[in-house]
Amino acid sequence: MADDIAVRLDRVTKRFGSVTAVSEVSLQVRRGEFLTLLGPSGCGKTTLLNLVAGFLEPDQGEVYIGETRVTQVPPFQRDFGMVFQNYALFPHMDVFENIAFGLRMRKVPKGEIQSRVEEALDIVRLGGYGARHARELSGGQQQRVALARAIVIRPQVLLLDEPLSALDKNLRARMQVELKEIQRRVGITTIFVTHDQGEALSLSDRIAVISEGKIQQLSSPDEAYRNPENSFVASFIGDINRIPARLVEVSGDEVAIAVGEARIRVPKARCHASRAGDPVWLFVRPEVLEPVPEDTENAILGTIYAHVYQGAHIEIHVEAGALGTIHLRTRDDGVMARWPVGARVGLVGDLGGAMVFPRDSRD
Amino acid sequence: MKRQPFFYWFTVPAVVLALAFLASMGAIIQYSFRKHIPGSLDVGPVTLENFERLAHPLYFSVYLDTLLLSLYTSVFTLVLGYPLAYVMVRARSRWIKSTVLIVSIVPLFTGEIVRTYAWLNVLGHNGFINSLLLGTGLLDRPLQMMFTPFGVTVALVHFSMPIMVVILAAAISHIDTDYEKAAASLSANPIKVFWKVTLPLSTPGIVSGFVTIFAWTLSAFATPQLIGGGKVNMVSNIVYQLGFASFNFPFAAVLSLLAVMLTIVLLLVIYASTRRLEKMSLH
Ligand SMILES: Nc1ncnc2c1ncn2[C@@H]1O[C@H](COP(=O)(O)OP(=O)(O)OP(=O)(O)O)[C@@H](O)[C@H]1O
Ligand SMILES: [Mg+2]
Repeated sequence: MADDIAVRLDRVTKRFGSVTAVSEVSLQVRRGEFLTLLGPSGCGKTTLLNLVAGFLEPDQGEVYIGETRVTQVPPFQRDFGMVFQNYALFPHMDVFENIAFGLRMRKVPKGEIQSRVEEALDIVRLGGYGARHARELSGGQQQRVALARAIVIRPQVLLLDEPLSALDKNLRARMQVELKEIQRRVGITTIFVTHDQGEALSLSDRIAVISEGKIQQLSSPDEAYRNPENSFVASFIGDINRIPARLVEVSGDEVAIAVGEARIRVPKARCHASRAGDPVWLFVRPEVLEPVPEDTENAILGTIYAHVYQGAHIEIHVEAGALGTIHLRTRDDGVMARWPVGARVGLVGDLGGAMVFPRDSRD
Repeated sequence: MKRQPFFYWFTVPAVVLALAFLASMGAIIQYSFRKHIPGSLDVGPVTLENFERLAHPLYFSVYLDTLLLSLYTSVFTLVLGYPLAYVMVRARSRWIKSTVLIVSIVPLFTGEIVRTYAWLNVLGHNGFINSLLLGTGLLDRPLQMMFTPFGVTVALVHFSMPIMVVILAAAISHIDTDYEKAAASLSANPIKVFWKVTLPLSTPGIVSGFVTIFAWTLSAFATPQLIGGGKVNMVSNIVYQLGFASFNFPFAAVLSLLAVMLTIVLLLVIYASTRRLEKMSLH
């Protein structure tokens, strides 16, 4: 086995009664990489993490940490560190003892424990907090103690289950930066669980997008954003419009699709449907679309429904009848005056980055 | 908000009970200062001699025995009850959970007398244990267990077990399993997880279970009366003998007062220690 793989899952399945929480998942986490498991609530992220940790045993498949097969090995004999959503700092120990716990269990010599705990406290910028009690710390500080406790044992892999979800928005943004910076500096392999696609995009080297217990796409954040492999990934990552349409014809390296009355051309490479007449979804980012007069040729037609001012940009909601509500996003504040609520509008844009996926005709 | 008049009607039963308790406490205090007239149910003039009599070594040893029996009982109940409570809370199988629950709670629903008679059948000369030991030839003479502190303790432990298990189970079920998972993720084996995390985090339950059983055993009556058979005497038994055999109500009142004081001191200890533990933010 290649020694640059820190964790490997091989066709792992886990069922709870009739629910298949994880279904035939295979995954290789590279050494030193920050890999995010991203997906909606209940898709099996925590289950997957618990299978790596050993708190759950798979019904089928194998789990490897480093070179070792650990499928049947209990958690305390596996080499991982974990940060829990509620931190789970031991309430009967001070910060120092919390961090030293793993070192004591691993029988690290006394003198070394002292220096390694101090080093870990410095890494998370809590030098001098050793004698404090967990309850005397803020949420962000507790978070950092939990991180220090997990990395001080220098495990092969660090597992984080939505560690930032208990923090308020500002602190959360700060901790994201800090977490990424610490991870890079320590160089520790990290599996991070979140249902927040923004968090996943900003932190990860690679993202595994999960739905219904299966990995839908495993790629860099950039790839997942620009080249989603299916309509689930396309709708989950980034803000995007999903517009019902029909494939009209495939000609050369372009396809033509009918969106309402409009005929739109999309590069063939961006189209995952193949037969003329197929119902499809057209995925377009809101920042690609712009408002034009309604008599413009091949514009998608609708009525301005609302302006949502968001500081850096303005979001315009357009009611487009059978096509649903379409959002566009612009930095130009003049738009609000030129296109007041209730005005008829046409939408056009450079659809070179748009995507077309097959649509179940019942949708 | 102005309270409706009927609201106060709900407090009536509590007030009646409180008055009844106050009246009986008043009677006990009043009796404790009156002279005992042998052979009479009436009491004599005010005196302090009942309290002086407390100095007699006999009574000192009764209190000491009572405290020791209570101590043994609470220690053994704790040591035996903890594993039961732990299994009841943490076992995966429902079947094991309910079995443990039933085994540990059922004694609560058999009366004290019935339960004590059951122990007579187990501990007596012709009882279950002796029949077994004699029958298998392990002993040639029956073991004396009735009328011994050992026998009384065994029965008291059984009597106290349901309360202990319920208190401990409540405390253990409050411990978030993430703490145990965190310890396991830090390489602690299951035994270490128990000693370093689960047990320390269940101290509030251990303290209140221990003190509750201690206070509860201090006032035990039927068990030492029947199983101790006059050879093992706890405070209640002496109070009973003085009151109903010699009709010495004044001295019986003094002994009862002292027992009440001991219980109050214990309750203060519970209060103080739970405050301390709350400060440690264990719960
Ligand atoms: N112990 C369990 N017993 C029964 N079903 C479970 C158990 N744990 C998880 N499940 C089910 O397995 C599925 C996946 O759960 P999991 O906790 O892995 O989801 P998740 O992706 O972590 O969701 P969330 O974002 O809400 O934490 C869900 O349908 C859940 O109901
Ligand atoms: Mg989860």
